[in-house]
Amino acid sequence: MCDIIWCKKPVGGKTCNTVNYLDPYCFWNWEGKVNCAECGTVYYIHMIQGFMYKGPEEKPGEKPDLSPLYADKPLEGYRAYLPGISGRTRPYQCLPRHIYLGKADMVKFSIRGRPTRGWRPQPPSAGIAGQFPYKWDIQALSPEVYEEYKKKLLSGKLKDW
Amino acid sequence: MYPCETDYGTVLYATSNNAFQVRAPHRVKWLGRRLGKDNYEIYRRWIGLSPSKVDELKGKGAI
Amino acid sequence: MAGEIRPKSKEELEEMKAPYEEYCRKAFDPGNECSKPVSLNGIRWLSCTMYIFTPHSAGNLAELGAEVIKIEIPRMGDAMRHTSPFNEAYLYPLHDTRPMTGTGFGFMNANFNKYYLSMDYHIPEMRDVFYNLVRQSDGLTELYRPGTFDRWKMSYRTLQEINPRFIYVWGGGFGYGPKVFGGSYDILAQAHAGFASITGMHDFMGGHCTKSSNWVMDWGSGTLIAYGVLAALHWRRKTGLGTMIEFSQVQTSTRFTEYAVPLYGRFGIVRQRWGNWDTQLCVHGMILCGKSDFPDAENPQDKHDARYVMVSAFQDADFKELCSVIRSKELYEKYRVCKDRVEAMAQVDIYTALEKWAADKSRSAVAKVLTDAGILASPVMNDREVYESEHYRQRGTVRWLDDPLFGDVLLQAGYSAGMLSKTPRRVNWIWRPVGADNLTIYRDLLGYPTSKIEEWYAKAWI
Repeated sequence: MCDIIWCKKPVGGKTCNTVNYLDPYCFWNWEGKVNCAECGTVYYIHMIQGFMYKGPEEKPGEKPDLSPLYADKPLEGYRAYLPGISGRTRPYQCLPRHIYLGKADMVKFSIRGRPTRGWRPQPPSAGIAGQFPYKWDIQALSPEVYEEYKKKLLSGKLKDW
Repeated sequence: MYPCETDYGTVLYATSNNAFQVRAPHRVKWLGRRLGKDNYEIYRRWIGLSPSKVDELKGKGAI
Repeated sequence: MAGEIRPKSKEELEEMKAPYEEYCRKAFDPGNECSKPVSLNGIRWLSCTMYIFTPHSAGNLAELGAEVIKIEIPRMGDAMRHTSPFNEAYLYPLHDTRPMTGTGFGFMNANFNKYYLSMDYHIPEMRDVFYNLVRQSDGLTELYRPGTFDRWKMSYRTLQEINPRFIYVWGGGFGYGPKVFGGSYDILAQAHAGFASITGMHDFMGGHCTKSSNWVMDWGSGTLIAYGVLAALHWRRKTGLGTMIEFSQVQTSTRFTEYAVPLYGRFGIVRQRWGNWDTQLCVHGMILCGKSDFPDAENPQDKHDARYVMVSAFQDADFKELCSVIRSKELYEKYRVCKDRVEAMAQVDIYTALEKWAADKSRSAVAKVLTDAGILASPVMNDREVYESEHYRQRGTVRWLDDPLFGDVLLQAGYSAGMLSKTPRRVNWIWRPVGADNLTIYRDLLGYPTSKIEEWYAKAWI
């Protein structure tokens, strides 16, 4: 694990006392300015192999290059700043895309514009004992998708890849 | 002679003389199937045609 | 080299490779696999399996043309069907009676071309039906806890009496021994037998032991079983006898630890992790560049992660060239010979210098500069870039399938396991719903009357 910045800046008569966690992914070999997640004080640090080689030195009035990943206040019941709080901690870049929210996305066409099947609900197969054919009659089961596909075919814009 | 369930109901048929064989008797499982019953599976598995391609050929009267 | 003919221009290179290139294109002919025979034609394999590892062993046979019958729990199916990467990646229906439940893409690559049968084989009423299948099949893969099939009178002991040519595979976690009842997951195999301990960055670099994102132990073990089966088939052709394969998945992980075991045996040294670098060669690793190739992309994988380049310049001459590219004469003076470069601290020094040089460059710029200098370098590509790569497209590695049930599907696994010119692998369909071939198997193969099948279906025995 990397070194941390324990901010001791007096703010409003009290010590800030915030632990700013510097994750190895960004800070392992790094030189630059980091802000404190609570009071916003900007510190210069130079980190080598996860150890604080220089700093933290206060740089009042300067802008930070990066924010810590996460911060908490261990002396005040571990109140924490989670990743992704604008201006305090680093934006969490791995946030799921809007479509990955657990809600089924019933696409009717693949990324190259050909019809897919298998969205729900689906009618029963009407075969004996669950038997399915080797064909999904899209024209009969989803006429609207079939029509749209026909239009796409006619438009000539459909790509092979 | 045995009754056999088929796509056309139960049918009485005469069994093969070779049915009297200990390890691998000849047998009848179905008597006739409707035309093109296994088209989609066979064309997909052995010829590599997708169902839409099969439909296209069917439309042309080729299969 | 003496006697070697070297091309003098790009045109000449094209000309020299043309005949072989043409031969290969014709011999392998991606896209026309189905016009060729399959190598495992006539082999019928039963698969009483779940998840990835054991289904993949049977899936390999199915891709090579065997008729694989996957037997699933009635109404429920393989548990892997529900383990989709994301909720919305499900394809519906799972089953005739469950139109609102689907199967996720996580199920896909281990289950191509199979026939889908549902059967509750553990109830005594269905045992004879199961035996009838065994009589007409060449082998079976199962994954239950050791002894379960034996209790159900379905283990090799029983089945070899019914069919002496039968090849029986048990695939699971530990196999017999002190840990006989331990179950298995890919991550358990990675952890338990040494693989995870040598994957990831060293502690010294702020790293932890790392699980491979891919279920490498499942895919690897499935493939190892598949060639065990091929060996058993060859043995059977010579002797007429089947055999039993007992395959412990954790052993795959041990097998994959390379030189760690003999190293320990000789010197008592425990192998350590070395992350994206190499323990034997330097430079031979992946470095981080400063700029992404796609800074404006929406997807974080493109926007932030398209920054890694793999570099290989471990030969002294190549390293000299690399040092001249990054304009660091001192680095070359310091580490002239490979022996000095592979030392741990030397590697830290060298890769740090490389990353410093790459800090103001984009990934593609770094790869291009190095490649132009004659050094092996490649961007670390993501799925989208693989999809767009012309190389994979021409070889048919990644391709579209018009699946009979699920429509347009993009797939790669069936076509990225080596190409066979006469009997290529192929993907006919990605998967089918639970019990989708019940009638084909029970009636057409085994000869049970339709009324009986409907009765079993109503009782949920199938």
